[in-house]
Amino acid sequence: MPYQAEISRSNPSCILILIDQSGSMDDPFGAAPTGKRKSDGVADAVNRLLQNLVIKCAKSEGIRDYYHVGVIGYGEQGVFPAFAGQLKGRQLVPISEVGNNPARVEERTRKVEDGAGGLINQKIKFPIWVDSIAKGGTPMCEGLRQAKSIISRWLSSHADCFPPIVMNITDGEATDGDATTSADDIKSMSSSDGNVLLFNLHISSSNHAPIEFPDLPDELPDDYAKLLFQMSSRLPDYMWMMVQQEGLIVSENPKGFVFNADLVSIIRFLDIGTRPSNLR
Amino acid sequence: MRVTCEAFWLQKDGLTADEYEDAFSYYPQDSHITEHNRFRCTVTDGATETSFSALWAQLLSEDYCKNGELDLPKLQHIWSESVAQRKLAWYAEAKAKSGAFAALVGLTLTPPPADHYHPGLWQSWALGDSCLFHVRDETILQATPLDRWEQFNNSPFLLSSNADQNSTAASKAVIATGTWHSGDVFYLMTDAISCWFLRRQDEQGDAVKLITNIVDQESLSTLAKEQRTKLDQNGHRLMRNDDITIMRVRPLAAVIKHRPE
Repeated sequence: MPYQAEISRSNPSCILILIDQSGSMDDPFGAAPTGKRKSDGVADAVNRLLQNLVIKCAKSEGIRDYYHVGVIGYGEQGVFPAFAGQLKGRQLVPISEVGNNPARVEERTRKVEDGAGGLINQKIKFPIWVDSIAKGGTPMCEGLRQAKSIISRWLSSHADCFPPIVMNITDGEATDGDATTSADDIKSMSSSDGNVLLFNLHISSSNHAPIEFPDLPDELPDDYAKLLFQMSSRLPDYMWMMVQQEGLIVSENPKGFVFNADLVSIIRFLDIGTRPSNLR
Repeated sequence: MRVTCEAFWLQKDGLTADEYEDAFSYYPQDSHITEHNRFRCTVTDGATETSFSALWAQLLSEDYCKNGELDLPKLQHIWSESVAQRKLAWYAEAKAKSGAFAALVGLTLTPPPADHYHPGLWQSWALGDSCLFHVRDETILQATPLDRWEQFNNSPFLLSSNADQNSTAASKAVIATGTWHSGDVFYLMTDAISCWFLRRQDEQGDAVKLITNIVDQESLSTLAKEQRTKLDQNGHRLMRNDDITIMRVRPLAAVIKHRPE
C-alpha cells in the first residue's frame, strides 16, 4: 500500500510550497472589509504552515529533520526561492534550519477564551519566513515546472521516502498557459512509497464560505477554483481517516484542495509518531 | 508473596538510547524479590509528537507506583517547573505549551490471604494503549485496556501534563481486576509490542512463547529487528517502529489449599 513509509531523520520527506506573488494578489482577501490583501493571506498561510511544521518536528532537544522544506514564489521576477532573511536564495532547507532562521519573529495578538465565558487578547510569537509580495504576472506553469525539477532531484537521492508534498497557494489566475499539464507532470513522479502529492489552496476575493477537501467541483464558486480542484491529488487513505478523526465531514474521495480556508490541517495529518487524541 | 520483576526496553530504530521516551517503575524497589504485602509496577509511554514526554512518563510512572494513584496537579506542577527552568527557543516554548502526553498501565498485586484458601488479587489501571496481559500456561487469560490488535491506532487518549487537555481523557481510564495463582505471569507492554503480541498470538499462536524467550536486551533486540523489518501482505511492518518496553512480573505464593469438606 502507498503512503506507508516511515518519516524519520534517516529517511526524511520533502514539502515544497509554491506561492503566487503576482499583481492580482493585491486584491482584497475575502469579501469582509478587513483591509487584508490576498498576498497578506498567502504570506500568513505560508508562515503558519512553516510554524506548525517546525513545532511538529520539535522535541526537547531541538528540531528533528523529518522534512526538508522549500518555498518558491512566482510573480513579476519569474520563479524564485521566496525565503527572506538568512535563508534567502535557498531551495530546499532542513526543517531544523528553517526553525532556527526565521527572517524575524513578530508579536501578534489572538483572541482566546478567558475561562469565564469571555474572550481575551493573548500575545503570541509569530515567526516570519516569507513576506507579502504582489507584482507582475502569474507564471504558475513555470512555477510548477521548477517544482517538478526540484522534486525530481530530491527523489533521485531519496527514492524510498514518504512521497513529497507540493502545496500551491494562489488565486488561480495563471498567465503562462494551462497549468493542468504541469500539475499532472508533478503528480506522475513517485518514490517507492507512492506518487508525489499536489495540494492547492485557493485564495479568493469571493465572499463564498470556506470549502475544505471537497470530492466534487460542483459547489466551487468559479472556474479557477474548479481548475485548481482538478489539478489536486486525492487525499491518501490515511489522511482521509485523519480528516475524519479531526471531526471534518468529508466524502470518501476528497481532494487535497481548500478554498479560502487553511492548509495547516495537512500538517496535523503528517504522521511522525503518536499524536494524542486529546492534544488540541 | 514473592515477586520477580524484569524489565526490557529498546528505543525506536534509528534513534539513540537517550531518545527513548518510555518509562517503568516497580515498588518496593529494594530488590527484585519482595516479601511486602503489596507489589505495584507501571509502564508508561511518552508520546513521540510531544516534547519533554520522557520526563512526564517518568513522573507518572514513579508516582503511580509509590502511591497507587496519580496526583496529577502535583506532577503537572513539577513538570512545568522543570521545563520553565530551561531557556527554550520559540518552537520549543510553543510545543511545551501544549504539554507532554503519556500512556500508563499500572498493576497492583495483593497476596492470597493467610488461610491459603483464596488466590491473590490483581488490579490494573490504564489510560492509553500500553497494555497488561495476564498469562497462564502460555495462554492469555486477559488483556487490558485493549484486547484486539485492530484497536491500536496512532492517536490514543493520553495523560497530559497540561490540565486543560485532560478533561476528555479522564473518562477513558480502564480498571480491571482478577485473581492470580502461583505460576501466572503478567506482562506490561507499550503499544507497538502489545499490538504485535496480540496479532502474533491470534495468527500464529506463539507470541507468548516468543516473549517468554526474551531474557536480556540482546534477545529483545533480535526479535524487534526481525519483526520491525518483515512486512505483512498489505506492506505494513509486523511490528511498528516505536520504543518498546516489556515488564515481566511473576508472583509466587504458597499453593492454595482445597477447603476441607
